[in-house]
Amino acid sequence: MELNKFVATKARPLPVIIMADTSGSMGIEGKIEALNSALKDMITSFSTEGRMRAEIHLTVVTFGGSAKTHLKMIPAHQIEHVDTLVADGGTPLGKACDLVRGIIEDKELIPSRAYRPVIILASDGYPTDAYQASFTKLLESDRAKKATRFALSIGADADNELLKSFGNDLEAPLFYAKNASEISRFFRAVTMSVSNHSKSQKPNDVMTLDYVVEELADDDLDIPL
Amino acid sequence: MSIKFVTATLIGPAHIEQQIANQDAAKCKISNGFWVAAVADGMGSRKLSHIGAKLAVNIAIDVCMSSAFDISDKELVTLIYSNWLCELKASDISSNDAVTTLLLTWGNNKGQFRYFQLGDGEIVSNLRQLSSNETDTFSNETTGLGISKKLSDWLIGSTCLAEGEKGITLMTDGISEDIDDHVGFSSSVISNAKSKSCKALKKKLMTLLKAWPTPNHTDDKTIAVVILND
Repeated sequence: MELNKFVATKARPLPVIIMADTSGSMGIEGKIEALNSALKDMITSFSTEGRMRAEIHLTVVTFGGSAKTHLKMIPAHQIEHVDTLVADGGTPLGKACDLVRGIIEDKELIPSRAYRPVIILASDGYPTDAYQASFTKLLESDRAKKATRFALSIGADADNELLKSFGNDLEAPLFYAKNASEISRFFRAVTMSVSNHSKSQKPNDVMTLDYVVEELADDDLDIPL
Repeated sequence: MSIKFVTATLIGPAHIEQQIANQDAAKCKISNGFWVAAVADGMGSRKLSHIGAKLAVNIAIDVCMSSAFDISDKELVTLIYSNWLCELKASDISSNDAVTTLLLTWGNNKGQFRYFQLGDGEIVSNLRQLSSNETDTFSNETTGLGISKKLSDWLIGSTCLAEGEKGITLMTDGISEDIDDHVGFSSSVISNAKSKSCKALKKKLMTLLKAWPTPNHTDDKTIAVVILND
């Protein structure tokens, strides 16, 4: 048999897991619209990346009323359509953690040859289920420990202490988005960091996020340059 | 028993781009009824890891060839590690700048052999996975000489050639991480070795490494093949 038949013909994946709060409270003040728009822009950006070193793979887990895999793990350039997120119900974070732990530990979805995954948790409220055991299990799972984890606190009512314990960047354990516009800016920063990371010499290094919320001056345009 | 070796190594595209050396090394030796094969993969982020890797294979082979075959695992690992540190110190190189993995097999002409692995990569025969890093790490997370301080970081074994076992391959992770069926690959390499001269097998391996099928691969790639004939 020819030796090259044994060699993978797919690039190493860089998995990105979005854990998005879609509870009822996300339906006010344009938050869910901002999240939908940010997600759409992220997918468009990832899908047009040249796949220089790593191939970005994306999955989206939502938790609003129930927890579900909104987008199954798929190479970003193969994503053709994502259903619009709808805000509804409570905040079952624990169930979402169980789903994400299942994804990150699944070696079919995330093989050992993958680069270190990135997990982003965005929430605007307190969990409404018995989340603690599932949350701890996720954070203590071998693979999630090694992932780069970012947390985004949306609005004024999020459980910031909980979200802080999710992030594992000691210098920036939690990012804040006070309004819909800042949600977009956060996801633009994530998109840019992941894209740059996928093209870097060392896609397996821990990723950092260049996201600083500053008040825009009247003359500043909030555009993603 | 007749023993033949083939090694092949190729610098990865990332290191060509960065204008740095191939950080892998491989060496094999046969003497007085014993054979040794070693492969090392210098850690990419360390500036002198190519030196660390070369030293590691040279020292590992020298230590094996000058030791009794029944030396304890701990004693052998300690000897290799301490000699490696000593050589680095003599060259005024910090071990932190020269971190490297080490894969080693050491056998005799009676079909007994031992294997040692620190860090990622694979040691595989045509029939079985001998050492395997089946942990929940992701690619490029590894340990090595210059980092590890525990014997338990090493994957170690001692065994005899099984019925039909005709050879062993040692691969750095530049190769092993892009292969799912390590035993199938090793078996195919060793089958090729049976039907070709060493020179022809080396040429075939170099052709494979040069036209590596995985898109966007970056790493240096090194393989050592030990071909064992009754």
